[in-house]
Amino acid sequence: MMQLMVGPVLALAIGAGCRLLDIPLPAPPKLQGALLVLAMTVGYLLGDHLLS
Amino acid sequence: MSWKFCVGLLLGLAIGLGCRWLGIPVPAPPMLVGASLVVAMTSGYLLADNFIAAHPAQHRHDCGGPSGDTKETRT
Repeated sequence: MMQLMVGPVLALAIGAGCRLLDIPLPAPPKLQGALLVLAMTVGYLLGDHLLS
Repeated sequence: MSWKFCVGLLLGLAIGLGCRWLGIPVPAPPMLVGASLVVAMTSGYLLADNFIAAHPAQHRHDCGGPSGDTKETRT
Protein backbone atom coordinates (compact mmCIF):
# COMPACT_ATOMS: atom_id res chain seq x y z
CA MET A 1 0.00 0.00 0.00
CA MET A 2 2.86 2.34 0.92
CA GLN A 3 4.59 1.58 -2.39
CA LEU A 4 1.40 2.47 -4.29
CA MET A 5 1.50 5.92 -2.64
CA VAL A 6 5.23 6.45 -3.10
CA GLY A 7 5.17 5.37 -6.79
CA PRO A 8 2.99 8.19 -8.19
CA VAL A 9 4.83 10.82 -6.10
CA LEU A 10 8.18 9.50 -7.37
CA ALA A 11 6.87 9.46 -10.96
CA LEU A 12 5.66 13.07 -10.62
CA ALA A 13 9.06 14.06 -9.19
CA ILE A 14 10.89 12.30 -12.04
CA GLY A 15 8.71 14.08 -14.61
CA ALA A 16 9.18 17.48 -12.97
CA GLY A 17 12.93 16.89 -12.50
CA CYS A 18 13.35 15.91 -16.14
CA ARG A 19 11.66 19.12 -17.26
CA LEU A 20 13.55 21.35 -14.80
CA LEU A 21 16.94 19.81 -15.65
CA ASP A 22 16.08 19.55 -19.37
CA ILE A 23 16.65 15.77 -19.45
CA PRO A 24 14.71 13.61 -21.97
CA LEU A 25 11.66 12.10 -20.26
CA PRO A 26 11.32 8.27 -20.20
CA ALA A 27 7.62 8.71 -21.10
CA PRO A 28 5.66 10.58 -23.80
CA PRO A 29 5.96 14.33 -23.15
CA LYS A 30 2.30 14.84 -24.14
CA LEU A 31 -0.66 13.75 -22.03
CA GLN A 32 -2.36 12.22 -25.07
CA GLY A 33 0.64 9.94 -25.63
CA ALA A 34 0.62 8.80 -22.00
CA LEU A 35 -3.12 8.10 -22.23
CA LEU A 36 -2.48 6.02 -25.38
CA VAL A 37 0.04 3.94 -23.38
CA LEU A 38 -2.65 3.53 -20.71
CA ALA A 39 -5.19 2.52 -23.39
CA MET A 40 -2.77 -0.11 -24.71
CA THR A 41 -2.35 -1.57 -21.23
CA VAL A 42 -6.12 -1.54 -20.68
CA GLY A 43 -6.58 -3.34 -24.02
CA TYR A 44 -3.96 -5.90 -23.03
CA LEU A 45 -5.65 -6.53 -19.66
CA LEU A 46 -9.05 -6.70 -21.38
CA GLY A 47 -7.70 -9.30 -23.79
CA ASP A 48 -6.20 -11.18 -20.86
CA HIS A 49 -9.59 -11.18 -19.16
CA LEU A 50 -11.41 -12.29 -22.31
CA LEU A 51 -8.98 -15.11 -23.07
CA SER A 52 -8.92 -16.54 -19.55
CA MET B 1 -11.93 15.67 -26.95
CA SER B 2 -11.18 15.53 -30.66
CA TRP B 3 -12.20 12.59 -32.81
CA LYS B 4 -8.56 11.94 -33.65
CA PHE B 5 -7.79 11.41 -29.96
CA CYS B 6 -10.76 9.01 -29.68
CA VAL B 7 -9.47 7.08 -32.71
CA GLY B 8 -6.03 6.99 -31.07
CA LEU B 9 -7.45 5.59 -27.83
CA LEU B 10 -9.39 2.94 -29.76
CA LEU B 11 -6.23 2.08 -31.70
CA GLY B 12 -4.33 1.76 -28.41
CA LEU B 13 -7.01 -0.56 -27.05
CA ALA B 14 -6.94 -2.61 -30.28
CA ILE B 15 -3.12 -2.85 -30.18
CA GLY B 16 -3.24 -4.04 -26.56
CA LEU B 17 -5.97 -6.59 -27.36
CA GLY B 18 -4.15 -7.79 -30.48
CA CYS B 19 -0.85 -8.15 -28.63
CA ARG B 20 -2.47 -10.28 -25.94
CA TRP B 21 -4.41 -12.28 -28.55
CA LEU B 22 -1.35 -13.05 -30.67
CA GLY B 23 1.05 -13.43 -27.73
CA ILE B 24 3.18 -10.48 -28.83
CA PRO B 25 4.92 -8.39 -26.12
CA VAL B 26 2.89 -5.20 -25.68
CA PRO B 27 4.77 -1.89 -26.21
CA ALA B 28 3.49 -0.63 -22.84
CA PRO B 29 3.70 -1.82 -19.21
CA PRO B 30 1.50 -4.93 -18.91
CA MET B 31 0.24 -3.80 -15.47
CA LEU B 32 -2.21 -0.96 -14.87
CA VAL B 33 -0.01 0.47 -12.10
CA GLY B 34 2.93 0.76 -14.50
CA ALA B 35 0.82 2.57 -17.11
CA SER B 36 -0.49 4.91 -14.39
CA LEU B 37 3.12 5.72 -13.46
CA VAL B 38 3.78 6.70 -17.08
CA VAL B 39 0.79 9.06 -16.93
CA ALA B 40 2.04 10.44 -13.58
CA MET B 41 5.51 11.06 -15.06
CA THR B 42 4.01 12.94 -18.00
CA SER B 43 1.80 14.93 -15.61
CA GLY B 44 4.85 15.93 -13.56
CA TYR B 45 6.64 16.99 -16.75
CA LEU B 46 3.68 19.12 -17.84
CA LEU B 47 3.29 20.65 -14.36
CA ALA B 48 6.97 21.66 -14.33
CA ASP B 49 6.56 22.99 -17.90
CA ASN B 50 3.66 25.20 -16.78
CA PHE B 51 5.66 26.35 -13.75
CA ILE B 52 8.65 27.31 -15.91
CA ALA B 53 6.37 29.16 -18.35
CA ALA B 54 4.81 31.12 -15.48
CA HIS B 55 8.15 31.95 -13.83
CA PRO B 56 10.67 33.14 -16.45
CA ALA B 57 14.28 33.65 -15.36
CA GLN B 58 14.67 37.21 -14.05
CA HIS B 59 18.45 37.22 -13.52
CA ARG B 60 19.56 35.78 -16.83
CA HIS B 61 21.51 38.96 -17.58
CA ASP B 62 23.66 38.28 -14.48
CA CYS B 63 24.70 34.84 -15.74
CA GLY B 64 27.96 34.32 -17.59
CA GLY B 65 28.07 33.36 -21.24
CA PRO B 66 30.61 31.04 -22.96
CA SER B 67 33.41 33.50 -22.19
CA GLY B 68 32.34 33.93 -18.56
CA ASP B 69 31.42 37.57 -19.14
CA THR B 70 28.00 38.68 -17.93
CA LYS B 71 25.86 41.10 -19.89
CA GLU B 72 26.74 43.68 -17.26
CA THR B 73 30.48 43.49 -18.04
CA ARG B 74 29.97 43.25 -21.83
CA THR B 75 28.15 46.59 -22.07
